[in-house]
Amino acid sequence: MDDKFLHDQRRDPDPAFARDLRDRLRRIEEAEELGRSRFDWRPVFATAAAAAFVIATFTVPAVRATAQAALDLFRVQEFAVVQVDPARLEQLSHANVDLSSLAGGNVEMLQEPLPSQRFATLDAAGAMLGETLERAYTLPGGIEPDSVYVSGESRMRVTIDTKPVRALLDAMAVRDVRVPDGLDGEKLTVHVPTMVAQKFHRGERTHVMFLQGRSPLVELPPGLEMEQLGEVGLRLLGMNSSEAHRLSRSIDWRTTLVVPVIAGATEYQQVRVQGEPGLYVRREGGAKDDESPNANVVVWTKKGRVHAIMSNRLERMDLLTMAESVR
Amino acid sequence: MDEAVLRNTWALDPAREADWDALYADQLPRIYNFFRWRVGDGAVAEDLTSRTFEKAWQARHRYRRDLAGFGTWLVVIARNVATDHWRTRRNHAPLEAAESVPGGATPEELAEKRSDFEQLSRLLATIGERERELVALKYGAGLTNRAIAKTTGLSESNVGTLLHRTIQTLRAGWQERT
Repeated sequence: MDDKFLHDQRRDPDPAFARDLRDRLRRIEEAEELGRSRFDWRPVFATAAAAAFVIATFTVPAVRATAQAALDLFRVQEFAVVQVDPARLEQLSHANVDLSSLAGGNVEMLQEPLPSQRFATLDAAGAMLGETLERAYTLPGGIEPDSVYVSGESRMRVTIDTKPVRALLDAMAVRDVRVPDGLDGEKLTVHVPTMVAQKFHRGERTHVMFLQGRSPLVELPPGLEMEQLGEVGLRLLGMNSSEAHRLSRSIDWRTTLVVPVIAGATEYQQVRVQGEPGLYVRREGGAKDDESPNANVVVWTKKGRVHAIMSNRLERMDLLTMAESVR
Repeated sequence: MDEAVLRNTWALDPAREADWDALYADQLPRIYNFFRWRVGDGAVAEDLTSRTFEKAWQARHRYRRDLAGFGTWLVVIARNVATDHWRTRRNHAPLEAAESVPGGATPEELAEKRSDFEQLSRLLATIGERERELVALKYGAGLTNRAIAKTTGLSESNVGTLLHRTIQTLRAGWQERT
């Protein structure tokens, strides 16, 4: 036994172990960078989160039940904006109801998403996915492409539990609508397809991200009273009774993604991109870098795909010009 | 559209990620082998390695501009993790099962190497905690005597003397068993 013998007893860790640990660390990195990023989307979305949860629960997977449909499907084809009163959000956040439980009594992951992968170019990401990805051919001055991220697809089955929804209606003293009977125990399946995100930057202060992917797909059992459910969701978000009733019956729940925006804090506008329906949303941030950033987003659908271009500094016309050039 | 996807994707920074990838690839074998020498081969060494990296990664921003310092800090965390492990397992047998198969050579060489390390692990279980840690730092983590002295607070000459005596003890035990 000599020095060499002792040093030779070292060996490399099992590659599968090394890979798994690296993946776990990468998730820590992502979470940490999320908190540290100068361009942090959280303030933009945080106040809308509660509203989004309610909306998503009631209206995103909403379909207009049809007698002939064996299985109802929801795909995003257009957008509708619902203004949410900040006071109602405050009320929702203080209601003694676990909002996360609104997602359903039981969520079973049928397919766990793989960790996101990074690529140097769209071509490299497309080669991995086996498809030609769309790209923005017109970029505002000084904007340079950065890296590309591909997030894995996932599938989950949700077993509906309406108890927390009824509790929330009680807590909000909403008594003119009711959750349809017979929903408990029904199952819906949510498929979130692969999403591709391309980052751009101009210097260190201007960030842009272009997202593309097929529309999420929600499969529901037939016969659900989705208009009634949508009305419940709209009422919970603070919409008055007559307006919620009218809107819930005018929306095509099978194809419309309802986007909640905070009244008074967000500017929005229905737009058309390449002739297709879209939405522009702008939220004014604080004046200093360490305050909430501006958030400008244009989102549109085309041929079953959902697209979004988001930036902290690019204005509406720049975003729309980029969007129009996507092929 | 998944809000979490948007946020997490946005948050990634390629340059920073590349640095941490390289650091991980460099440091993982050192920490993993430190634990092999401290607790033996197998799942426990992997578990303690994971704990060490996860603790370090939670606070890695402190070392963003000092990656060399991060390596030293990792060893400090690993020592604490090992101490905690032994504290909670004091009543258990010190030698962990050697279950996994080493890599990087022919099957015959691997079997021989594993057998050597199993024997060595039995010998390591017979020496004192301080001596075993010094050997783990030297031959597992690959630290110099100076770095070990800095990490443990012992003088460099003391480290050299203790290691010398420990190796002699191990060598004698090895000869007895073979």
